[in-house]
Amino acid sequence: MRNWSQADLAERLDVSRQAVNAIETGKHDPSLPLVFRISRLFELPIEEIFDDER
Amino acid sequence: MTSDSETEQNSRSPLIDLAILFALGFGFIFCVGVVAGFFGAAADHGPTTNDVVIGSIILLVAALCAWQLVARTLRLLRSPRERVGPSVRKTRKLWAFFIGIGLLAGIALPLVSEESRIDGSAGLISLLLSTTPFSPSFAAALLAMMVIVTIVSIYYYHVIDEHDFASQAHASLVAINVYFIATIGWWIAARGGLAPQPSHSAIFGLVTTSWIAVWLWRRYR
Repeated sequence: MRNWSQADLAERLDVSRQAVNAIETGKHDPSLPLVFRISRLFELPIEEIFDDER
Repeated sequence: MTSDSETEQNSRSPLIDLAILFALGFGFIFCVGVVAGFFGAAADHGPTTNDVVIGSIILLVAALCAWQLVARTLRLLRSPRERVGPSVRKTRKLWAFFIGIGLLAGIALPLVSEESRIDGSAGLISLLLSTTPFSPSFAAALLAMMVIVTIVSIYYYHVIDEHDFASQAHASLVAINVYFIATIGWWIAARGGLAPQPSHSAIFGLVTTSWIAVWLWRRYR
């Protein structure tokens, strides 16, 4: 979506790179506040970023 | 969310860095313990050539471990390969603090323990499992250190990100179950004559090891 690296996104969200990796690979379900931060950062609705059927 | 090629760019897992730091710290403390034993034995019985040669070699290894430990820790903290947010930076600084405190206690323990003076061969594990007394002032210093570490730990749990917190929570759940199973199981086995009396130190080691293993697995898998 933005061609950011995991480290770039982690820095912007103020979480570790491992956290971003775990969210992307479905090993960690982010909290609602973090989901909103991600949504604001990408300027996209939550449902366009996350797939709840996985 | 991120570019696909990124994961491969971080060639080495942080787990390897942590394992190297842990091995260097363990090696350094072990060497300090052995050197303390050699000097203690030399002071008690008069130094032999062997004491001086072997003691010097181990002292050199300890110095190499310490140098590598400091250099690698500083390199990791200043690592340009990954920009991090304020929370992650704070977490890393807190880890440096915990490692520093652990090293300080690990160095002090063999230096004040009587076992290390017997023949210079007392290992770190036997020193940690020891129940022989040391001075009240040293005990008070260690307890004061524990209070500080506990306060900093509370702050640490407020600083870490939610993924790390979830990993720690999972590890804690496993550790408490290991504690229940080991404590009760060993107690039953001892009463049935199937095992020796339970060892608090062994159970502490088991619980700590399982907690660290699960935390690292959850965080870096």
